[in-house]
Amino acid sequence: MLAATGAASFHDSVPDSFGQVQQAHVPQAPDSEPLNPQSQAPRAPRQQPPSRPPAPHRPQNSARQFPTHLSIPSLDADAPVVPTAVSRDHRLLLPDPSRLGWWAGGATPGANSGTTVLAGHVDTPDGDQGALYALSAIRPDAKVLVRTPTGVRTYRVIALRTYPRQHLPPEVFRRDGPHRLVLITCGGTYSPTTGYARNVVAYAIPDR
Amino acid sequence: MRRMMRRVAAGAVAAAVVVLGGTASAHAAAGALSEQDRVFLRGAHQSNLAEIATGKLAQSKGSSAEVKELGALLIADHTKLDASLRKVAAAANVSLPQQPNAEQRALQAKLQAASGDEFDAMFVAGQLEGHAKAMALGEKEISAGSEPAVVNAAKASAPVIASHHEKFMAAARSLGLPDSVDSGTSGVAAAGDNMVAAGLVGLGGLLVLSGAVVALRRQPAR
Repeated sequence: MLAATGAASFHDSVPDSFGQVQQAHVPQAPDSEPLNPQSQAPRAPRQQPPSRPPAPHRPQNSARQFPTHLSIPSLDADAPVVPTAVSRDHRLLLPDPSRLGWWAGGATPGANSGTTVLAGHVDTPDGDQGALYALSAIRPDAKVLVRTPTGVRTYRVIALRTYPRQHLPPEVFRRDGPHRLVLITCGGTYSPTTGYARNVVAYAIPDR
Repeated sequence: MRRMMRRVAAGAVAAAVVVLGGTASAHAAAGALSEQDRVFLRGAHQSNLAEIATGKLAQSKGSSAEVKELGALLIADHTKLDASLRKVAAAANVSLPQQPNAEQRALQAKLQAASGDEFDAMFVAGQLEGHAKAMALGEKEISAGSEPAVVNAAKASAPVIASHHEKFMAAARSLGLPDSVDSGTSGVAAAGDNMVAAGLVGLGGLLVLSGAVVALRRQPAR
């Protein structure tokens, strides 16, 4: 009964914004702050103290922590991941629509702090589905599995929001603060000349 | 005379033994070479060829000094690494590919076609992927290789490739934060088709709910 109510309200909030969902699943989230450090408050005993300096960068082979594969069982989403970077005009470049890009300027999965950003296409130029086609339909608490050469990291979705596509706030890409995973694709209305109006962004935290 | 013949014969046998012995030890060396060693030599050589070619592209197309310098570093280091690798391969009698693999060539073509705005990002991302693979290849050889000369070649190249990797990680960070992600092209998701899944979940939930209500209503009747 509760599940049915939750599903309905989650779906109802989709057309305009996911603000209500965000508030429902991320306690005390100010509207301007989609990444909510308080969301991990119940996990405080396991959390690193904020004053603690970040762990030293692994000198040997940090590529062992690179994400290589993403899987969201509840969406039937399953795609390889490759590193990507930011163009001079501030776009996060993406690989072909069958794969996801990992922003190499951010955190690796399982890092002590900062955001791991994975972005992928919602569709293909031929009108097929991209790797993150179904992201808009992701549900709170959905499990997200990220594979690296050293193992699989599991995350839990806590919020879904949309932003104007050309103006993703820097908070989405935070390099500090509690570690989290951010998934990005396109959504909203579509114009053949300017493309999709918005970016759909899902936030997830480590599921320990 | 017979004595002399014997001496000649003995000498010939001794010479034959030396020759055979030499051949035998050469065979032994080739025999110690495993398929893993061959895979490493070929893969590392192709990766060197790819890094040298990509380094040249970075020197000519890179828009920042950092990227141009990284290009020069790739050319210098991978030229050196490849020179010693080719010696090891020649001694082990392993023939090496003439060009990078298909994936590496595809990346080069992409970089060649990249716009000025995109080149640095594509170069840095491509190098992170390439060096990650090169490091994995080297680690596999170090842990599973057979021929000591080949394993040593992997050990010698590991710190060089790891230091490149760290430089590319720093370069990725210095490209700054993105503010947009162009993750759609054809508009198939615009009609909300991709929300159907959520709608169905909602509907399914409602069906379960109405089922529960029916069940609750039936209960008092019993």
